[in-house]
Amino acid sequence: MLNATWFVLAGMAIVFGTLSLLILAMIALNRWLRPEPGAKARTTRAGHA
Amino acid sequence: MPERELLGVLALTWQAAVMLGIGGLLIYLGIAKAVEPVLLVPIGTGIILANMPLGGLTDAGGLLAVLRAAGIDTELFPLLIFIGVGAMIDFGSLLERPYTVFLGAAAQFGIFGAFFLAYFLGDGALHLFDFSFKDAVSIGIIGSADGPTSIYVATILGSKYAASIVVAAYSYMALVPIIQPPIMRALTTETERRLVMPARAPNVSPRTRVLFPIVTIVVVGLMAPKATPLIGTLMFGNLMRESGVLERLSQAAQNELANIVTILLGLTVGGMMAAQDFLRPETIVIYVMGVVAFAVGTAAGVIFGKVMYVASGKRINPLIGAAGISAFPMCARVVQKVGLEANPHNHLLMHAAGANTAGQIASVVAGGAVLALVPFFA
Repeated sequence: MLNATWFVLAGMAIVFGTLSLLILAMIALNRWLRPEPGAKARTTRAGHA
Repeated sequence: MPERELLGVLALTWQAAVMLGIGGLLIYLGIAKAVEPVLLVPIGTGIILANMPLGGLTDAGGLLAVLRAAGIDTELFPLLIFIGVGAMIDFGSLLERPYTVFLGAAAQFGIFGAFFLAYFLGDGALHLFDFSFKDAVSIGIIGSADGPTSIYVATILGSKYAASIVVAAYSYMALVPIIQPPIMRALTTETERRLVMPARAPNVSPRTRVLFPIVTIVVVGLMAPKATPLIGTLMFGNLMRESGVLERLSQAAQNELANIVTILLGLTVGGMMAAQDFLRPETIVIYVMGVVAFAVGTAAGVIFGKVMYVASGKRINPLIGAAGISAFPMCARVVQKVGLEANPHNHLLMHAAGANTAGQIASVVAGGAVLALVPFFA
């Protein structure tokens, strides 16, 4: 079961590591590509999956 | 020719009869009770077709065998479905609230919790069931609450329980409104559930929406390369949606493509449920593991939500953590419902949608992570 424990830890580390980078990318996109003042933000329909 | 092969009724075994009953039950649930009819009616029909004695649909060259070889064994169907799913998802709620990504990440603990339990019951310790390391991982992936990812991972890992796993994954998505609320209530206080999160005016530029799918492919692809096919198709669908110049293709992906593949996928998944593969004790255990996976994922999301509640100075309602599992948009609706029960003025839908769409990405990353890690640990 030790290998299973390491598997769980490594898996969650990859998930959190990848999504941490993604959050940084989102923050950067939001900061650098802010909507222009006065521009109406585009909204799209909610999806279904 | 033996007379048993003359009439189907002479070749009917009790196992096949049970499967015909299960297929009929799924069709009944889909049509009479409106439980995920888009999935359950094709799956139920596929079960009946596959278990009809002497029908030959699952024999070499039969319709269901051909569909399985073309769409499941090649992982084609789940990837095509993801193009449609990506075209349907609005990631705006996530982009407005990037922090909800962590709720999606936390909820993936359901995958690993269920894996750990399945492996413990199987080859890892107790040997009560015939669950190898790869089988346990495939069972755990039910916790992704994501049908295409479940199919993709279970197929690549070659689990002998792939059919049961896929059916369990789709079945539990329909049961999200029943499984989640008791866990959400048990892990939160009335005060926490009543917390109102103010609505935000949309503040994401169209350029951000267009670049997000591309950036996500690059980030996820570089960190979890085995997830590239899944994240690539998901984000390609989303790019068509957000580009503003591919409306026709986006609509085709959301409607024609998604509908056609859903029909074929449902029939094929049902066709994988032959009596000899399905009617065994492990199937029941896999269904129990599915509940465990969804419950652990929900609990992990809510607990991480509570951490955020404290860390944010009580500005984040921990209920939205439950939406971190990727059953979209059911989880977000469940959060909205439970939030409204505690406070009639508490509209958490858009906040939960952020966590829910994050869960969609996180489940794909988790799928890629387990595929990459299995060769090192199995």
